[in-house]
Parts: sequence; C-alpha cells; structure tokens
Amino acid sequence: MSNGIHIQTQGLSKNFGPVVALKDLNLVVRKGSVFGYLGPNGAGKTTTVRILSGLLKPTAGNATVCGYNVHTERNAIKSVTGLLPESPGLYSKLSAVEFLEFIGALNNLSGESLHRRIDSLLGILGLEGRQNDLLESYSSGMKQKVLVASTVLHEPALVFLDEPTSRLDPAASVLVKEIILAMAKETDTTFFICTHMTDFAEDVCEVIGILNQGILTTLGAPNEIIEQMGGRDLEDAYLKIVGGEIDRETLLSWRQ
Amino acid sequence: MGRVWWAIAKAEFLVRTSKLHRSRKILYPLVIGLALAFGIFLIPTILGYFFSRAGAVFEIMLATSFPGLLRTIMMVLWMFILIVPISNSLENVKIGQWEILFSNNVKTRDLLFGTFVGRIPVYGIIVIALGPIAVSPFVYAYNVSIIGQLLMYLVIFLFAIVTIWLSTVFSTAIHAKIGSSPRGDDIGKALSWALAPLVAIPAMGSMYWMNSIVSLLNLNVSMILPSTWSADILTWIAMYTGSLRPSSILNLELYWFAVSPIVDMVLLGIFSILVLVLGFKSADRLFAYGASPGSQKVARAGPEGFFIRGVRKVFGRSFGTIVVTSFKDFTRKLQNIAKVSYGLFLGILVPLLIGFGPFATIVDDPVFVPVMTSLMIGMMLGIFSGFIFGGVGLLDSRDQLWILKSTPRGVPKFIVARVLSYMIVGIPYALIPAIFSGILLSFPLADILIVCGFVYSIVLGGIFVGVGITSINPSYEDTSSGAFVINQISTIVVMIICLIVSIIPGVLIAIRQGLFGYAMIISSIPTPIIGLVILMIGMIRLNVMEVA
Repeated sequence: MSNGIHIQTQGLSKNFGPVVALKDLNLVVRKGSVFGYLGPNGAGKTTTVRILSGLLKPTAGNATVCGYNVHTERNAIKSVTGLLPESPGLYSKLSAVEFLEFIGALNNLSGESLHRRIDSLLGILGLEGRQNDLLESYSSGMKQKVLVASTVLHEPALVFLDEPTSRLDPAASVLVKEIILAMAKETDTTFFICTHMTDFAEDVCEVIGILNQGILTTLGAPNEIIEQMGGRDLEDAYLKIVGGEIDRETLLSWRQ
Repeated sequence: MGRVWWAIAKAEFLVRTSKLHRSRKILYPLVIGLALAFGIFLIPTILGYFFSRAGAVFEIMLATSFPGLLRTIMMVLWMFILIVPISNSLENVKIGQWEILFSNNVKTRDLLFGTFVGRIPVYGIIVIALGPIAVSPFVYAYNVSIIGQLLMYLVIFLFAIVTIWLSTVFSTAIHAKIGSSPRGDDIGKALSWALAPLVAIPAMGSMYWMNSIVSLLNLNVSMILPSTWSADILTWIAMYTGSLRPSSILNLELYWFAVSPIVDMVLLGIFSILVLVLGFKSADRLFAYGASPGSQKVARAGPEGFFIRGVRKVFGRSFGTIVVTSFKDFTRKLQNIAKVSYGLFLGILVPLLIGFGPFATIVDDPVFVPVMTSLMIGMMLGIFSGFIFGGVGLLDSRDQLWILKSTPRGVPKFIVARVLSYMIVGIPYALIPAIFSGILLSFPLADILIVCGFVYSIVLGGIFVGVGITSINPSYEDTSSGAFVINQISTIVVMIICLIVSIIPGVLIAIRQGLFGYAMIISSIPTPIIGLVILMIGMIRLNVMEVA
C-alpha cells in the first residue's frame, strides 16, 4: 500500500491568514524508521503533524501518509495512525482504564482483547497500581504515560509523537525511548517525533529534520548533521542552524 | 504593612476589571458615573413617580410598613454582596498565585487586606447603584433631611465595607480549604452554583411571600441578622431626621422595635469589629494553603453497576463504551451535579409559585393550571438545560478535540454519545419537577404523564440546542471567553424562539378547544426538531472545523 514509504510530501504548505506556518515541505519518511522533527517554538512542527495525521488541510502541496492522500482520505489516515498531542487532553473524571477504553472504542476496539492490551500497557508503564484512580489525581508525568498508551493502543502503523518526553522523569523517558525502539524494530512501526530534546533525538532518531520559520532547513542522520555543522553534538549543531548562541556579557546586561 | 497591600489591591482591581482592559481609565469612571446617576437620580425619580401615583393611602401604608420591608431588602442586599464575590471567586480557584506572592516575602495580612481593598471599587458599584432602593422610600415617606440621607448612606457604606471584608475572608478560607487541584477546582465551581439558591430564596420570598416573611422576620428570628440591625438603624435615622409627627414616631417604635437604636448600633459595631479583628487574626491560618485532604483525596472508579452495564448492552460494545464514558465524565463532576440540582430547584419552585403565589386564586381551573405549569416548568428547565448540557461541559479543552479528531469519525461518534448520555441525565431532571407539580397541584394521572412528556421534550430541545451551539463555537472550559458568552446568549435567544414557536399553537388549542393533552402534544414537537437541526449543524461544523 505504501511501497516502503510511510510519509511523502511535495511542496506542502500551510498558512493561517497572513501567518506562514509551513512552507514548501518536501519530505520522505521510510516505513519502520524513527524520524525526529526539531525546531524552535512556533517553527511549524505541530502544524506539520496535524496535517499529516489528517487533522488539518494543507493550503498548498500534497502528501501521502501510509499511502493515503491527506486531502481526500483523512479518515483512512486516522485509522492507521496514532497521535500523541503536545499537551494532555485527558478526561479528568475518568480512570486510566476508562480513558483507554474510550480511546479503544473510538478506534472500534472492544472486548477482552482491548482489556488485555490496556492492562498490559499500564503494567509496562508502571501504572498498574493506579489504573482505577481518576486521572485528576495523576501527576503530569503519569498523564503523559496514559497518553502514550492511548497513542499505541490500536497498534497504528505510524505514530506521531509531539514532545513525548517533555513531562517525563529520566526513567520514564528511557522507558518511552525503549518502547519506540522496540516497536520500530519488532513491529515495523514508523515514528514521527517532534521534540526540543536534542539528546533524545540523537539517541533515538535515524533521520532528523530541522524546521525553522516553517522551512525545512536541514535533513539527515544525526551524525551527518553534527559533522556538516562542525558541532560537538546535536545540540551544538542545532544552535548553529537555528541561532540562539548568546555571549555571557549580553546575558548579564540586564543588571546595569 | 507597608505598601505591599496596595500593590496587591491594584492587581486585584486590574484582574476584576480586566474586561474593561485598555479603556479602563475611561470606562471605569463612566461605570461609576452611571451607577451614581442610576442610584441618585433614576431610582428616586422612578420610585417617586410611582409613589405619587399610588395616592395618600399608599403613602401611609409605606410609612408604616417600610421598616419591616427594609429588613427584607437589606437581607437580600447583604446576601447579594456577601455571596456574589464568593461565588465569582470560586469559579476560578487559583491559589497558585499565592505561591508567587509568598515567595516574594508578602505577609498574609497584606494579602488579605490588599485583596479586600482591590474588591471595594468593583463591588462598591453594586452598593452605589442599589443603596438608594433602601433610602429613597424613606426620603419620600418621612421627608428625611439631607443630613439624615447622608447618615443613612454612611451606614450603608460601612455595612457594605464590612460585608465585602467578610466575603473576602470567607472566599479566602474556602479557597485555602479546597486547594488548587482539578478536584478542588470542581468543588469550587460546584459551590459557586450551590450559593445561588441562597440568594434566590430570599429574593423570591421577598417578591411572592413578602407578608409571611416580614411577619416571620418581625419575630425575634430576624434579630440575629446583622442586616436587620443595619435596617433598623436606617429606620431610626429616617424617623428622627424626617418630618414625622412625634405620635407617628411613637407608633412606629411600638410596632416595629423590640430594642432601642443604641442596642442595634452596639450589636452592629461589635459585629463589624469582630469580623475585622478575627479576619486579621485568622489571616495566617486561612492562608496556610496546604490543600485539604478533601481536594487531594484520590478518587477511584468503582465497579460498574447494573444501570451502566445495561447502557453498555443497549448501545453495543464500542459505542456503548463511548456513551458510558460520557455519562461517567458528566456525572462525576460536582459542578454538573450542582447545576442539575439548581435546575431542579428552579423547576420545583414553579408549582410552588402557582399553588401558593400570585396564581393561587385561579388554581381550580382544570386547563389553565396544567397548561401554565407545563409551560413554566418547560421554559425554566428547557432554557437551563441549554446552559447545563452545552456551555463548558461539552469539551474540556482543545487537546480533547484533537484526540477526538485524530480517530476515524471520532467527532460524530462522540457528539452522538454525549447527547445520548445527556438524554439519560435529562430524564430525572425533567420528570422530578413535572411529577412534583402534578402531585402538589392534584392533577389527574393522565395530565401528569402529559406534563412529563411535554417537559422532557423541551429539555431534549434544550440539550440539542446547547450541544449544537457549543459545537458550532466551542468555548471549552473557559467561562470568561467571548465564545462562552456568545454561546450562552445564543442559547437563550434560540430557546426562547423555539419555545414561542412551540407554545403558541398549543396555547391557542388550549384556549379555543380546552383540550389540555392535544395542546401539550402539539407544543412539544417543534423545540426538539429545531434543536436537532442545530445539533446536526453543530456536529458537522465541529467535524470539519480546523483548530489552529
């Protein structure tokens, strides 16, 4: 259905009135790969994810996701993809199990197999003792874990993760990283990850794209990007690409 | 305390007048000017016009009965000034700001006093506008001198200041008690709804059962209320600075007053000093905001009962789960339960008003009473159901909408399930007042069933309209947003139009043919149909809507 390619975009653009959120994006993401999408706040990462997951219509250009067209086959795209949004939109008065049942039902899953999957995921994520507590009592990290579970619950072929580890402690971040790597390797699931965490991206992603002001400025493997920019690591290379290096004198100038 | 309290007062004032935003410097004095014009010129002119038209007998009645009436007016005003700020502040429990203040070495007394001072210019507007209601009738009936009027306004001002202080202390204590958590926020919102009937009961009472309440208050029961002490002080000032004859003063004293003005003044003085001193003394304790176990309690989802399992079976596995989830999400929120209870309270008031209020004299009419009861309950519950089930309850956040949109046909599935779960909640909401009215007003069983059917159909219409309008223009949980206000106004307007369209043919049938059942069946059809159309439009719009 997708010839080994899960995402292919041609001149994909999105404007919100006069604001250009995404400009002329040309990108290919292979099946079973882990793609990292980096960029400063407001660069257009979330907009890209929303277009590719069938939530927003592009202003111009075209894209296929798992072989489905973003203009005409949005429901088909939704059925084969999973999306972890940037901030948690959980139902505070439901328990983790009830919320995951709800997400399962929205994806036409039900019955014993769904419950086994929910129990298993909550166990892996270390939430088994709290699974019947209402989500209002969860910490932000625990909520993020529930969202991660809800994203992979229906075994999507392609998973979009928008800042998956931003609220997680180091141990939970490692856990999520391992889940991503295991699913990519063992089940050929493709991951499209938006993140600010360059060390996370460097560890997990095979290919990285850096977006700045709606334009994809850099694309390649992490070590290639580091080498190309002459940086010490990906963070250094990233700062060289998007700017943001400030000298100490400037940083202390406010005290005068 | 230094000037720290002033900075807090300024911030509080800016927050409370945030709607005026950049035009605050022009609009705030304008609002004050309008309130002054309303209180000093408009109210006395209007009241004076009606009093002069009513004639000499009314003037004598007013002169003799107003001291008692004033106790009720002052009680309502007192409750209003006390409860509205508490209710408003409970809508948004944000004690996280306290952390910022305390980390900047702010003392608890500064915080309490600053918050209080910041509220005075806002809630003072209510006092400026409504105070003359208490003074004007005396000015007219007793011919009170200018000095007397100034003294009366001074008493009202001091009483209002003490009340605003009291409400600040109460709301602070409640905030600290329920804490800053999703559960605390829910409890706060529920409490803000529960406070409303406390104002509504005396207000309704003063409108419909004035005589009985006043006579009740004339017993010693009312003497425990500070509002009565201040009302009596106002009466004393009016009597002795007006142009009443000594014999009239003596009659009034004998009829109304069990204690001397000195006792009233001493009681009010002690009350005011106690409230001020205790408020300051308790500041440290009130602001010890280690949230209470109540708000931090970890609530667990219990096993599903017979009813929930039944709903699941009826609607099938997948869709049944969405309906059940929606039902649980709605009914577990205390604020929703408080809103539904408030609607029930209003619905139950209707037959009480019809049975014992101004309609009581024509209570025997076999068609008028059931028709009027059904229409009033239907209107009350129908419009209110638009608020309860639409408004902020539909979607908590934009992110929830993204989750729904990221699943195939997620939005239509969700909206249909949401509406079905609301229809289940709507059954007791509609039927309890309908059955209560039938039993209270002794309707035949068939009529009770017809009333139930009519009221439920209007409630369904309210649900459809509320959900439809909120889907067209989602306001999420933000009650201060423009979208929320527009939705509320639209819901009222649409529901009123629906109800007029529904009711006119029914009323015509009831008047011309005297057929209650037929009239109600005809009246029950248009509202849900119009509501369904709006719901469909809303669902389609929400499904295709692009949210940045």
